[in-house]
Amino acid sequence: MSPPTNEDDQRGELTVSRVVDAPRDLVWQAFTEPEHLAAFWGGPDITVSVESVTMDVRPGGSFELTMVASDGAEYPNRGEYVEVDKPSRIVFTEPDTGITATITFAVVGDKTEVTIHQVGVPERFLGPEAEAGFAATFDKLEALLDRWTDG
Amino acid sequence: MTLTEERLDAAFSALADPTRRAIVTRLSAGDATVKELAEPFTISLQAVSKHIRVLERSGLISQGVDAQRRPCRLEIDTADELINWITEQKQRWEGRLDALEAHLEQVRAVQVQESSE
Repeated sequence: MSPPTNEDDQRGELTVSRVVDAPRDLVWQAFTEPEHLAAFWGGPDITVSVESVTMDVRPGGSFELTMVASDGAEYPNRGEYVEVDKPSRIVFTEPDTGITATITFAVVGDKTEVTIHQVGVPERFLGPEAEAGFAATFDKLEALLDRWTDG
Repeated sequence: MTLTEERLDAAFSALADPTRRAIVTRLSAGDATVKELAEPFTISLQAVSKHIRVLERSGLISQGVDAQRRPCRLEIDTADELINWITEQKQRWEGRLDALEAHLEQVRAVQVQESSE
């Protein structure tokens, strides 16, 4: 698994990886069963009730849930499974944001490495030529923003 | 789509064109007039103006009201927003993994308790 690079950031892609202290089967369960997913999908600050979760974990199937922020604001989250390869890989898309995320689960001793690779920029904006130029523009913009915030 | 997402789409879409990227890159070095921006290109001033209008609509650049020069300027907020969005997406996953670890710890603690009963 390649580590996250600056290049990824510049192309609007991102990679996040973590070794969690649990066997792979359990981690797979966590991502594919409503009662587990609801417990962590919102992160530390957002609540997801088990009742709001529906999921049909197979290619072409979808998931839907409601995230509730601490101020009570509700955010629906829905996605569609593109690939489901038990117990090592899930790919899903979110039609609302245009992102595609690939989650892989790798055995590391008695632990599991979870890696998320997300294409954060809708694909239609990224032809091979656009990608190269996009990276260059981001370089310049980032340098500029650094100057801006320093000054 | 939210307003932010619409703006992001417009901005990314605008940046997919090489001429427009060159314009944005040039403006990151400082404000410039349409004429100055057109200089390095072989295309007409009119074509450059068209690209500038697309960039303006996307919120990436703005054009001054000074009737004589009307200099173009890079809009830092939009550029900032693009980069922030990616950072936020990353934080969202990090937060999810934090919560996942806490949840798994709980599940395993219950499993250990059950197996010892």
